[in-house]
Amino acid sequence: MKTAALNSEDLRSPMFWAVSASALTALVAGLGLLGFLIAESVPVFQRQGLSFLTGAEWFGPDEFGAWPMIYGSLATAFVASLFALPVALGSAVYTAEFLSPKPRLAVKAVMEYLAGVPGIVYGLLGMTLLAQWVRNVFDLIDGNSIFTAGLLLAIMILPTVTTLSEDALRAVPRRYRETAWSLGMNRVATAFCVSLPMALPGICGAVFLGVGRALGETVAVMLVIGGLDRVPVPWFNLFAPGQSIPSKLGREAAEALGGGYHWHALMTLGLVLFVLALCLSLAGRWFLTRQRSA
Amino acid sequence: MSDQTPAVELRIAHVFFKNRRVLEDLNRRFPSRSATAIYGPSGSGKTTLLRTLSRMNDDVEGFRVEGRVLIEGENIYSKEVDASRLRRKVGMLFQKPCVFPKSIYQNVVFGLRHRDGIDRKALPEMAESVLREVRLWDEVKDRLNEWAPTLSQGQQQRLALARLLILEPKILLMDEPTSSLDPRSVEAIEALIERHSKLRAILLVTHNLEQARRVCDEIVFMDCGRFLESPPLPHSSPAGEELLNY
Repeated sequence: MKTAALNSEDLRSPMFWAVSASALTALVAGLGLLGFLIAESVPVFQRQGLSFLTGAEWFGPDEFGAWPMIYGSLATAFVASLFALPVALGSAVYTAEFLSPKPRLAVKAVMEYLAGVPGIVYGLLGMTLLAQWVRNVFDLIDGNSIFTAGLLLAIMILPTVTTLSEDALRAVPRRYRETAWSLGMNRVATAFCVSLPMALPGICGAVFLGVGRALGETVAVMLVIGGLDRVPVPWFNLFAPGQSIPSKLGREAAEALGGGYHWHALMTLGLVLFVLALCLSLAGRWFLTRQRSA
Repeated sequence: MSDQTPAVELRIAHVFFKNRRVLEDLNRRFPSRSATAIYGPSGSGKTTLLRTLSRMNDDVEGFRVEGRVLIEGENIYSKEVDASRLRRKVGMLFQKPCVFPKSIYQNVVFGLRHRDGIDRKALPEMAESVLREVRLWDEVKDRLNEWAPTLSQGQQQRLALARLLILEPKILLMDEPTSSLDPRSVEAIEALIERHSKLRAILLVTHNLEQARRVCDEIVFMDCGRFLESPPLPHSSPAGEELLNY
């Protein structure tokens, strides 16, 4: 890792070594986690190869298929994005471009508070209110479904995406807005033709972080997704019960703990989730870096 | 608008930022086809005056105008006046050039593309015409699709001016447009001010008295948020001494 040029005085400073150790700890923790997951997944890939990823049945003790859980995770994240993103982006544009400072700060404070509410609280509300609502509105036997989980995730990620997108919009220097105004453009045109395109990389970063949270949410999803390890038939029937990777891990980790092939299969699921989240995180970071350098 | 109607007429009692009075007692008419330099020391209120004329401070907390600002006879601070409609008549060029992260061509036609009733086929020709006006055409004609932020500061300022001129504003507000620019850009902008002062009203904020004398029909002195009948005394501001020599 390349560091800034250091002189001998820097190298003698205990603070330098303290912060270096902290950075190293974070790096070791991340790599250690990835290494541990890979090591625990080796027996699964040795026995099943890539059929673990494509298999549709999760039957122990010798054969496990992760596809229903991968599908469930991607489907819930898709539904969450579908509902959350338009609302979050609209809200961010309105807050950043049209609200005066005091109401804007009030909205920001509420959004940031909501972003920090624990998943279990959302899960309980989803179980008691949202699942019932989905069941009644769509005339289902059971309101616990992939769609319900996606909708709940949409509500959960909405504040995160809104507040980060708003930050990205506010980061667009005022001089660009004033230049657009000086050309006779109104505020709506300025917001959509100047601010939004310039903030797009940051907004994409916010979206990726939000979707990353949706992918990783465990308890709230576990309470409303239905807990069925099946890809729905037809595959786009989102009102069927399903399973996501985190909810599967949440349900079975305790009983499989201590070794055995079941445990390795769950750890491999964890590795798949880690890789999915890592890809999203890297994509988000790439967009954010682009915005900063713009 | 008849030629007798001033392009800008100020009847400003006070302009405030919160409780701070930044402009006061500004009463003056600016004719429709002439260039007027506004000259004064830093902090004298020149930029605030230009921003007031284009309503750029509308969303600045605590900003308020007591009095009237008439553009072509219409009080721009009355509730009926839409700020964006006003700014189609009153274009403003800022001190620091600001180009959008788009191509040179897209920058030139940016404002025009967002207007209704524009013949899009005519845009390239119009772009060429204004780029020639600001003496930028020869420098960029072979790279119109290149990224505008890669241009030099002087080129960016001339591009920003072309972007304004293509909209044909009746009043052009220029806030120290040549400060820290290369001589070539300064010369191009000064020549343009001279030519366009016969077509539209130009208000030029400048710290360069020689420039004001070269290109403007009239010089207005400002200090402490007021117009001065005569240049300020040397001790009142750094610009005072230079003004006395004028």
